[in-house]
Amino acid sequence: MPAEDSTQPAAPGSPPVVPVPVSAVVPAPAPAPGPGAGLTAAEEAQLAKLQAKAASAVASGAKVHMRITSEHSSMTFGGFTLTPDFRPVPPHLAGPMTTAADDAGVTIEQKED
Amino acid sequence: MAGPPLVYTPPGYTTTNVVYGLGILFTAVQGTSVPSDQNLGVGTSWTGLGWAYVGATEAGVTLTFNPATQNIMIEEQPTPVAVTINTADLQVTTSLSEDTLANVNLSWGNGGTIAVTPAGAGQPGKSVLTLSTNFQTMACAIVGKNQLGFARVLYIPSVFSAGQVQTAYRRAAQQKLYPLTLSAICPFNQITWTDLTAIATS
Repeated sequence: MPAEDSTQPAAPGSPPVVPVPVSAVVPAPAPAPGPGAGLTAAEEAQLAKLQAKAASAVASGAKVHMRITSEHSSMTFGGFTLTPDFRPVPPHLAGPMTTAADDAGVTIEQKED
Repeated sequence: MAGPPLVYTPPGYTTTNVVYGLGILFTAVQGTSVPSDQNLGVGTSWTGLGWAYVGATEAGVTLTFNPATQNIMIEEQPTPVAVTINTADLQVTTSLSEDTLANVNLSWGNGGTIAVTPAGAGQPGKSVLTLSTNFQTMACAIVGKNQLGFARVLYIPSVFSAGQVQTAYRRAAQQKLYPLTLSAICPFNQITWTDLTAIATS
């Protein structure tokens, strides 16, 4: 059994918070949308950048912190609850959490350590 | 002819080892810490670490261990020369009696999202469970009591909820029930039983 340990305080000097609209990080349906599909070239570039960032965070085990920014007071997915305050999200839930939030109409924001 | 007397003397048995009682089922996100040894039997120690108690059940919690074996046979012998383990299923089953969205989600695969909207001007408070088939694995623990009165904990670090769920809406015959089936999906050497046997000496 994993031993009980203390909570992890936010590391000092954390990078600035970067608001990430959920709709922007949800994988787009194939084929990749072009400018004619509703995304501008700049938006496509931003989407690709965010997807790469999310994949990198999961692969590297970097801590992802998330919070709710919509009118909801909480959102629970996979046994983990998000609130309006930033909380570290288990790495394996970081990706599915964004999809779940989008499905549920909840807007979330994330930052990384 | 001298010899041992023909008396029947079976070994003794220990009636106090016959144990009965409830098992308390907790679930949590995979990797969630478990309480320290001395707090394994304290419910709030579990919930304080993020474990969720499933609450009341219809008929307690049932553990099912079901290995399927394969006999290795030879023509020259009628009994197998070896028996191998083909598959080994471990399941925790129960019928949840508390009609909450958390329990609905748990029994329906733990893939849904529960979004809570607080009451506001013109907005009633509400909780919305949005279902999905993106079932999430979780950890589970069953806390029971051993023959010494201390906690005995079965810890399974990774389980999957994918049982058939049938809920009857009856006028008065019974409460609404949500059958829950948790199947272990981790190697057996990650599953542990912990039995508290004595109080710490200091």
